[in-house]
Amino acid sequence: MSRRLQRYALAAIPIAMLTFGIPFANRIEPRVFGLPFLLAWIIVWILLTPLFLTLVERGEPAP
Amino acid sequence: MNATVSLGIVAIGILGVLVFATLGSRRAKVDPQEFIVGGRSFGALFLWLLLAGEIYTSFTFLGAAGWAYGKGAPAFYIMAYGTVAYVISYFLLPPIWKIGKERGLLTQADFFVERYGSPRLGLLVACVGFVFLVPYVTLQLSGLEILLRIAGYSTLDSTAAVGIAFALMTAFVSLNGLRGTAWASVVKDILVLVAVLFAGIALPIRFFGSPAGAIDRVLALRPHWLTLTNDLSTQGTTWFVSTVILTALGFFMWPQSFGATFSARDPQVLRKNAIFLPIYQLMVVFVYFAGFTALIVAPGLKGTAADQSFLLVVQRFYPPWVLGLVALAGCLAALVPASAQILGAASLFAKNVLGDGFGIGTTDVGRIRATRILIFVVGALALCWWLVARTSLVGLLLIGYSGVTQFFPGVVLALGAQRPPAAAIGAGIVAGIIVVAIAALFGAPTVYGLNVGVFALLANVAWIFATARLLANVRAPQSEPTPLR
Repeated sequence: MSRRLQRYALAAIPIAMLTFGIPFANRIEPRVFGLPFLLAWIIVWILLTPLFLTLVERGEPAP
Repeated sequence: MNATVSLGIVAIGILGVLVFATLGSRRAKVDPQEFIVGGRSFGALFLWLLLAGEIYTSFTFLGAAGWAYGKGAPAFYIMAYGTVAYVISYFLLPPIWKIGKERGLLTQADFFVERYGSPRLGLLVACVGFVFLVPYVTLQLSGLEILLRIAGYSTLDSTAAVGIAFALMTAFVSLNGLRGTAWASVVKDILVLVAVLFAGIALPIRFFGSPAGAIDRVLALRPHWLTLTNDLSTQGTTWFVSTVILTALGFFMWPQSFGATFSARDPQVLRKNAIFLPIYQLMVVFVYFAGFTALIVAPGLKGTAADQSFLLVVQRFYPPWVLGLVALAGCLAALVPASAQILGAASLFAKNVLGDGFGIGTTDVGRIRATRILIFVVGALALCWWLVARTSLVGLLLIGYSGVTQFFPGVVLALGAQRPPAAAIGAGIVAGIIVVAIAALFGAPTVYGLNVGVFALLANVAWIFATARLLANVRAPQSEPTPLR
């Protein structure tokens, strides 16, 4: 896989989890710190997004 | 007495922010590059403030709470779509910035003119952007009215108050341009953050002992409130996924957000913002908690009244100075984005319609003068619209989102080496907007559970390729290609 494809694939993971992953996370239990699972799922992936994008940035060719 | 305290805080706060931001932006020399895109000099922090200032509007503040109150889990889309939009922006905005820098572009329509070599396409893009921006400004006025009415304990002529606050803001933008908006965002973001943390933590603790306690109460009252329906109904999972994708694509297609890209100092600034802006989305969680608390404490608000839910709780259970501070944060969340939207609409019209279309105000001085005058025209238009048609504005915003999303295919295709002819892009935009308009006329927000914007976007892309094939012998002029990295 080329470097550019790798970076796109990395960025696609949080996008997929916040879109197509939603129907699979659509439940109350198990609760996470009292939050319903669906809301916790969205929050966790929002928190992970900067990490994924940082990895993508690491792979940028030098300007 | 109560009203005097809370309204006094709001009035002093708004004036203070305007003076502070005017002082902050005073030294800049005045030319169109400076006035419209901040001299392309904004670093990561300042651009972050500007974007956060533009993006987190009174819709985030009142609308997200209103949806949590009135609809439940569908409200979660607001957190998700912004995050998806930032990931897309990581790849999309740096090449747009580079083209803007090389060619000295000021507006979104300039970008289309440059890439497709067609001033007429630029005119179309400018007019469509303008038409969809005015209702967005109008929406902020509705938010402002709710805030001032509740802060005044209903003793105030809120229509007049909205008019005064809005006239001040319009004069402020006309004086200071984009840099003023960014400075005003500094104060606005801090205040909104404090207000949101208060609303999302202190409110549920007071009534239920802990934020999680609010969730227990909501689930006891309505067991299905915090999950989506798993079918093709109006706001089920299919709607959720399609709406998140669609609004994420449209996110940076709003003329003022697209234009903000050009104000960055370098592309690295845009990448850093894409990385860190998602964290800001977490603020919306607290707004949901405020909405859930209101659902238990002040039930029974129907329709658009749900937008007032958590403010009414603050009004009923807290002293006037607390209400004043929360309302001030909310008013700034309406006025600061409105200032960016007005500037976006005015600069688009001055540059691409008056200047390029009719040859009016083409010098630097003329362009700034035209933009400054148009700022007042846009402000007056929005105010008139608001006075005539006050309701169903959230509906208008969703239509606006479907509308500006139609720019997305043209923007992406513009970054490739092989660009379709301008006529194809124009035909696609028109086709997409016709579908949006038909859906709006028949009041159909979803078809087979999908957001209708999806069909508009499909029609758009289909028309681009169909027209491009028809015109296969007409090629867009090829300047050196800038591939999407």
